[in-house]
Order: sequence, then structure tokens, then C-alpha cells
Amino acid sequence: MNENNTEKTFRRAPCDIRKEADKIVMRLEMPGVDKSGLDINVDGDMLRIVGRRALESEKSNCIVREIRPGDYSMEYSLDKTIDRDSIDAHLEKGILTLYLGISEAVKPRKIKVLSK
Amino acid sequence: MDLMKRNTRYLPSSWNNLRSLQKEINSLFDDDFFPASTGLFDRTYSPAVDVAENPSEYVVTCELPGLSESDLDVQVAENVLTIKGEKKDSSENQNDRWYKKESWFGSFQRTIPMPSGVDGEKIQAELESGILRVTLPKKEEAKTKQISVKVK
Repeated sequence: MNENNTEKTFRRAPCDIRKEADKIVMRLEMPGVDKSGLDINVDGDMLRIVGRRALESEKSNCIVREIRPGDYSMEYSLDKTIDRDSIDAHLEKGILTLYLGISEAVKPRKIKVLSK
Repeated sequence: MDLMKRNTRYLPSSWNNLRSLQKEINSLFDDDFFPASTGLFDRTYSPAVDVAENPSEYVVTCELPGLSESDLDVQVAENVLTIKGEKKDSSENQNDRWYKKESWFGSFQRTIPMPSGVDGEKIQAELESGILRVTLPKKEEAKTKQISVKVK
């Protein structure tokens, strides 16, 4: 990386998305990001995740440099299925897990058949 | 019959086409659109490592998101540092429906030849928020010393 380049670059974190019974689970790998560097925003239909990290090796004199420098930044659009009020986040060991609740309106409902 | 002009100074023009194709493919891999360490030709199943040097020690940094101490095995033998471990699959339930899976799991091993002058007894390793940091202190005689010159 250019030594004079003080502006940090952003990149996407590897992401897994799966569906559980009544929620969508997102798992983002952001090694080096702790709670203070994490910023999650829901703005209308847009879910923005920014993870800032301060890797010591980014600054120092490196012999081997394989870790791609920079912070994480991702944007996802949410549709009607996600209940905006039931979004939970959990950060542990450099992995951010987001639990996005599915809104009641789109959950499958069973309709009882009444026999007269 | 048409005669084609032979260009002796440059390669035939079809080479230029190939070259521009190569350029385009290369630029695809340079793009940050692809997440790190999951690309097709990227170091899948092998975590990225940085080795830094400062006057008193060498620092090995390794990206290991989701790993705990028990999944990791850091060894020093002769002049080789070995980081071994297993990254476990995050999905407990196989019946879950997946929309996207970019992360990798499996066992990995990295061996790093250590520079001479490392004090093998004082090597320390710590794991914090998915980053493993191994410090390899230099031996006293290998440290760079600053000697102040007195002007008389």
C-alpha cells in the first residue's frame, strides 16, 4: 500500500445468510473489529454496517503482508419481510451475527377449516 | 489473393486482443467487490498472515474470526512457527435454508520460518476479536541498539 495514502479503504466482509424458523440470520466475518468500531444503521430499507479496525500490522514495517488492509463496509437492502423493530446484533470473536426478525404479516399462517 | 501486411515490429494483432483479455481478467481480481479470502483462487482454507518487525520483536498477526483458544494450536519447533487449527462450520442445523455462504470452514495450517535471533522461550500468543497475535521477542544480542555518540 502506498505509504502516503492515509485514507482508509473499505471492503466487504465474507457473509453468510440463512433462514431460521422465524428469523433471518446474517453472519459477517470481521476479524479485528470490536464493539467500539462497529456501527450498524437501519435507514428505511437500507441496512448499513461499518466495522472499523486498527490493525497494528497495517502501520508497522511488514515483512509479510497478506491481510488486506482497510475497514469493512456493507450495505444491504431490506424488503417487507423484515421487521425493522426486531433486529438484534451480536459481536463475538470477530464475527458479527445479525438476527433479522420476519414480520408477522409474511409468516405462513395455518387456517383452520371449520366443518359445520 | 489478398496480401496481409506483415508487422515485424509488433506481435500480430490477435495477441493484443489476448493481452487486453488478460488485463480485463486481472482487473476483475483486483476489484474489491470480491470479499477477501474467499475468492476462487484466493487462499481458501488458509488464513491470512502478516509478519511485522520492530526493534525489539517480530509480530505475527493472523486473521481467525470465530476461533476460540481450544480450536487453535500454536507450536514452535526449531526455527519454524506453526499455527494449526480448525475453523468450525457455523451452521448447527443442516436443514436451514441458505441464501448465501461466503465463509469457509475446515482445518488449516500455516508454517512460518522464524528469523534468526528470536528468543524461543519468550514467545507469546494472544487471541482477541478474531485476530491472533504472536510476539517473537528478539534475543538481546539481536536487538538493534542505539548508541549515542558523545561529542567531545
